[in-house]
Amino acid sequence: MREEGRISGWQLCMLVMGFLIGTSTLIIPVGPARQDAWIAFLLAGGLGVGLAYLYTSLGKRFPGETPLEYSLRVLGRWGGTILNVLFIWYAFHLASLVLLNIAELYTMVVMITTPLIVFIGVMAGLAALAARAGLETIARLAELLTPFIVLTMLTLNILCLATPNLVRWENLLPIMAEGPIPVVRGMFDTLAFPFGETVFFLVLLPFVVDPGRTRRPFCLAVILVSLLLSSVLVRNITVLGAAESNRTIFPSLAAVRLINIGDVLQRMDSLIIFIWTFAGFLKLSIVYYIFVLGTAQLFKLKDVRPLTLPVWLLLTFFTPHVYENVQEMLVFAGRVWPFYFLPLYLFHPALLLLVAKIRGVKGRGA
Amino acid sequence: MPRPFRRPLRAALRPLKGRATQKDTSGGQGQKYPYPPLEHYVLTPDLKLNLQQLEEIFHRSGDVVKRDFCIGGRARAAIVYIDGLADKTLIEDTLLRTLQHVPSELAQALVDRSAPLDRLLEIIVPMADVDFVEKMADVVNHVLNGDAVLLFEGYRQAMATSTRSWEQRSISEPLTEGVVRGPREGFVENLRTNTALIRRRLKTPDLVVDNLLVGRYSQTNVSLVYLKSLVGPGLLEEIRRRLDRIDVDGILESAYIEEFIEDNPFSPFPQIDHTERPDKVAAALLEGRVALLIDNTPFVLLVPTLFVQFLQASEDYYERYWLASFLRVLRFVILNIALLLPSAYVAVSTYHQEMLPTNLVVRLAAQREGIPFPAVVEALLLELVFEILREAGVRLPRVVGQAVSIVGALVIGEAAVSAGLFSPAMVIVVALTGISSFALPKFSMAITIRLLRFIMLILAGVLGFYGIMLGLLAVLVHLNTLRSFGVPYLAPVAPYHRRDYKDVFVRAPRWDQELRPTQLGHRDPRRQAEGLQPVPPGADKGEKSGGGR
Repeated sequence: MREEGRISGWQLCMLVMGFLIGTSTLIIPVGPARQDAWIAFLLAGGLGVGLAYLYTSLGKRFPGETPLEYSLRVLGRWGGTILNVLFIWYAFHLASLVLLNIAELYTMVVMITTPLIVFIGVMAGLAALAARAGLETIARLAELLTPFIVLTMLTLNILCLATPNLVRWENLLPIMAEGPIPVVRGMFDTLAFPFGETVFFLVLLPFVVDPGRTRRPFCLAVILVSLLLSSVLVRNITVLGAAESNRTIFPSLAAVRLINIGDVLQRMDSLIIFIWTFAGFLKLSIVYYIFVLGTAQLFKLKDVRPLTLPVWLLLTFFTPHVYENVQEMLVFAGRVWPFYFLPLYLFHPALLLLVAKIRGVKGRGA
Repeated sequence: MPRPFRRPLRAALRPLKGRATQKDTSGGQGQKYPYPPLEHYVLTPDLKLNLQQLEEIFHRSGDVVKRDFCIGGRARAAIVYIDGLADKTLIEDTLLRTLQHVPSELAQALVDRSAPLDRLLEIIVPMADVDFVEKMADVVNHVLNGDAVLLFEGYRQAMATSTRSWEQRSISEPLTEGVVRGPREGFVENLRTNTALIRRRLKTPDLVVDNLLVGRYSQTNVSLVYLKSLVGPGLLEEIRRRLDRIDVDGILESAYIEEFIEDNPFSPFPQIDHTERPDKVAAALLEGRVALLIDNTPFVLLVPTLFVQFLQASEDYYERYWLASFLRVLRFVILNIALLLPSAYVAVSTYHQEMLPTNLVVRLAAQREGIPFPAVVEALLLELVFEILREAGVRLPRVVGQAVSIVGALVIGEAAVSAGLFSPAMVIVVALTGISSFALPKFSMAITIRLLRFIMLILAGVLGFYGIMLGLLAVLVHLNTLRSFGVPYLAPVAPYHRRDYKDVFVRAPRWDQELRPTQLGHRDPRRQAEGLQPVPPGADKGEKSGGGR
């Protein structure tokens, strides 16, 4: 099937940024690097640019085609299909993880007695609506929400700085006290969690108006987000200390709650829940759309829209069973995901590119 | 460079496609002429027979005047017009008097048919706007439009003279879009007066007025007004295509047309702007938009329309730009208050008390002590009361209006609070929300916001802030799917257009707005010359002397 929408380079940049900010601000892990987590994050961002380079190379080689289409030609029918099934499985899993992250936030912090499935069902329904409306709508939504999210996060950082006696820079010390190993481990983790997930944009690259000009917006988005999120990490570590931010489930929430300027600007934690919901929804609707589109292409359907509703039900009833509790969620995001996701974000595109180069498979040239 | 967000107009409107082609060609004919069709009536050389036919066609209606007379005492003729639509003094004092006193040799020539009718009438008829017709349907059409039609013995032709003149409201200040500074003229119900009001502002042959007829019985004149060299390619064709589809009995207000040509007929949001102000229409035309003027209504439609237009008032452009920018931001705040304040209050007081400072929470809780409803029911009831009062205020005769406001203010405001039915805080919230919705410059958007407010209230009552945010996201998703004649509704915010931001959240100074909004697909981006920023005389001189060296 073919999506008829076309997105601009700017829209791609906004989509990638919104996607990366997505849930990672929510459960941004300090991880093994402890007070050096922000260094690990910046390094991961640098490698993330490399990943973006890899993905856009694939996109440039096969303009106008999604990986679900060209993988069949690169790896043959069977190999390609197996890879495609894996691809959409990961998309589905990621969608349910995003959904569960938001729902956990609400059941943990905001509305404790409401059942989890209510949050999941309503949010997934809305994402189904967005996916049904098509890629252009989601892209415009990203254009609308992403600047708002970024500006709010920056404002919160500035407010933290402006609150007297809140930021303690000495919390960042000592820098790399235990050598580079923990930083590298932290980098490996964060490479998978927000940055590797951009592999799903392989599906959206063919819809960019000018397929030759995807690399700049893509890389720019990765760089900007790594700067933004490492500033968030620095904020959390300086405000809470590395140990405390590791213990807290939602460190950003705890840090922002401490903002108090003259008893007027305070209780900013509601603001951060706002932007988390927006960012989470943005990420969810992107992944949802990719899953639906991928499924339609896997089964060679003409239209994605009939899939949106069944997928909503599937997602709603699958998501509560992804894990048992929020501790498991944090462990999964920090320890399991980097290895579990490695095949998709690195091996899958690298394999496709390599085999395509060796076998000399070229794009059909849109 | 191709614009990524501009799908071709036709592709953007698939649901409408195909239906227009199904219409048979006679449908077009049937629209151009009065309904029912008059094909079997023909003009004959026999004057008496013609008059009989007309009598049959008009079913001897009392307001159709038919009078026989003699031109110059010799040639028999008749005049037909509708009393009240045609100018009686003009017909009697000028037309009839001149015709009756035509020199007898000319009248004889008319009887003898020694020259073609139009040549003869050129000499004897003292009117400028005349039209020779050969079909009975045309005769009827002219008569119905207020023209006087002259029929002649022995000729298959008739002559229509423009004598249209009827009682109409004089030009007055628009009621819905008042300004402190700016022109005070508003459109009236007469299409011609309205086009003249626009033409007086744009004195260029480039201003085109395209006429169409819509409505089988009403035969309403609809004019497409645009600036030929500015209007974007494809837009006119698209508007005409959508207008041609309309096949109804009557068009009584521009809202009829609006509902037939919208992009998304199920959306609660108005997708076509309307205005009573000629200056606003002129400004829209200068941006490359198209105005749709409809006879018998002072409201003019402007297409394409963007969401931001509903947060702009024409006065923004007449006041200082600092104030205008402040008002723009204020309206954005007002929009959010009108949409979200009651639901936010309900969410906070029901689910998220921790969001408020302790003192405030204690005060609110003390007020809510003993209120017999949950906050959401209280809010819904009070909103309902407010809507009833508002509706009563709109519908009631002016004299009774005071009674309503007394009942509203005293009984609802005072008594309900002291009886312990509603908390004072809730009354404040609902009142502020109501006033905010009146402060929005466009009523059509305010209605939409009011309706959505109830949905938001219910969502807030069920799911707290989560519900509000989901509702907000749903509205945003919906707004992002909307298009108005192919232009994304939320442009220039989404899709983002940096240059157009000069007229969205702020209003940049006149001399800085050098380009037209890019979204509308006009042909010429440049609005004015570069470097029009006024320079103080001293600085100017220094520059000159520097250049002179």
